Amino acid sequence: MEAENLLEISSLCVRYPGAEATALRDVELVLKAGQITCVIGESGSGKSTLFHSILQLPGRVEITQGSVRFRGNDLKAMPKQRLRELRGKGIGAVFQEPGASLDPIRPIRRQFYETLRAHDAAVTVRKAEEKAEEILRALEFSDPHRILKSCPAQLSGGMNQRVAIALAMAPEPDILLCDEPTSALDVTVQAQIVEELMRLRETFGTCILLITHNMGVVAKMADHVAVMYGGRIVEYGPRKDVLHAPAHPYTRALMEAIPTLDGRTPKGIPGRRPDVFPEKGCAFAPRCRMSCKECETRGMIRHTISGDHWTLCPEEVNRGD
Amino acid sequence: MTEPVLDVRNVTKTFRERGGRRLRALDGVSLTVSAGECVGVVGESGCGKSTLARVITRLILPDSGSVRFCGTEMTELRGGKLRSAYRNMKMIFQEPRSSFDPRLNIGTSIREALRPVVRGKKEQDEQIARLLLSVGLEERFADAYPGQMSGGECQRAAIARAIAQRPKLLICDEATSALDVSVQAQVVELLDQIRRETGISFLFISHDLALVSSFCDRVYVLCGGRVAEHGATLRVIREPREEYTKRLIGSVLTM
Repeated sequence: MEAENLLEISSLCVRYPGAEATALRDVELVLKAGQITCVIGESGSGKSTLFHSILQLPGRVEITQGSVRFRGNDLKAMPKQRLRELRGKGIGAVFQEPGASLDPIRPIRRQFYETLRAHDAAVTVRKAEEKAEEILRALEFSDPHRILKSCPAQLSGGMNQRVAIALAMAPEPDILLCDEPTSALDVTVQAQIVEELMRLRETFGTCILLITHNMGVVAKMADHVAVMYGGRIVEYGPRKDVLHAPAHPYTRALMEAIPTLDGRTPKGIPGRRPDVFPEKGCAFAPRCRMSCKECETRGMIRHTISGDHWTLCPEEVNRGD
Repeated sequence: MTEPVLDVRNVTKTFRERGGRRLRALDGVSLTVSAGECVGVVGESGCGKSTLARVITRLILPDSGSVRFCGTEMTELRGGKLRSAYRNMKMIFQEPRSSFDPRLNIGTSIREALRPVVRGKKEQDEQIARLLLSVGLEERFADAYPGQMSGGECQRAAIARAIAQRPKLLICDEATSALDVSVQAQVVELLDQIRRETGISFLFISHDLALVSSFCDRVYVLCGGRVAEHGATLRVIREPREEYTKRLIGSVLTM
């Protein structure tokens, strides 16, 4: 049976409130139940804007075209109250800095209580604690009691990030959004968090959207990968296809820029990223090895590589691969 | 045999934490960098990487041990002698923007580094343009302020300033960690090119083992203030001898 479409983003165009320039253009993405989708791209490519478009936090982004639908309901048309219910219970979020979602001087058990209470007025302190312990055990915390009694300020950054993930999972969201959850952490802690997120999907069947610039994390976790550049998703497909047979010139160049353990010198991508994303044509064209003059003026269309692996390139371009 | 450019022997440094507890940040660390060599130091946060850099640059004094740089004992230098030692030892930091004065344009910042070695404004101007060009920046960046530049451009400018006096040793403390991968790769390519063209020695401090493997001849793995293992980079990665190194390599997520 086909997995259910939990979140459908279609022809989404977004800008920042008060700004003219478009931050996201024609973004299409479907998140299916139980799947892990990784969004990869460099700073300024629109990853976090996408994150905010899904979370719909007030004042962050303005949808100018297209839609984000959760279980068929358009988030833009949703009343504020329902959106608030949806955040947390339907869509949970974990941010790069664990400090951003935790109160440093409030015991963690209290924060579990408040989170659960916000979605269910009948929750008691006792019940919240039981629930918290259950989740911490599922995530294999060695000493849940000690953690629940502690304040985030007493714990390490890695431990706090694990707590932030557990806390986001407490209301049992259908989708967990993670914005660079491992970037601020050491490699060994990072590996642990990746393991944990995978286990979480196994246990709860949670659909995960993970934003990262770390290809290693993608290689380990993703079912599907979306590559972003200049406010667009320029390539999308199953992990194996995108990582091992990248189609978009940007994805290919990105792969060569990643340092590996074999001593190969990573190759930089010449030029710099665009400050303003072009209205028409390809934002990567000025840095692209394969581009021609027309790339900067032609409309962008999807070229299907195979199955659901596609890449976005200017129309009528002979991609010559 | 010629003396190494940098010879760190048995350096120990203890900090006193609040509450009187002692934290041994460096515990008998020894390390050498020969002329033209590129040496990596890897380890996780809290392993002592940055303390080591600060001891080598004499920003802090060690409790015991010696730091010999070009034959001079750094821990004993003061005043003018220390300043002249600094001419041969430059450092590049993690945050490119915060290493520049935000109110000075890049040209002025580089001029300050040039002043002791190049006299005359015209000569300095020429030299600034040449330096910028050598790190892949156009001449116009001399008039730019750090806030107007991207992280990668700023880090290039920091490199230009660092090599202005032709140092013998360049210490990079997480110099590319704040950059995007494609920009990081550009900067590593640049450092590699500088190294080949000038023969400057590098001490490359990073948490990223993969990055170190692409750039360094030898590597020291630091753990809890001690050198857990050291050797030729590819040897250490392919045949790690210590448990800690194995764990560190195992946790690098590869493609």
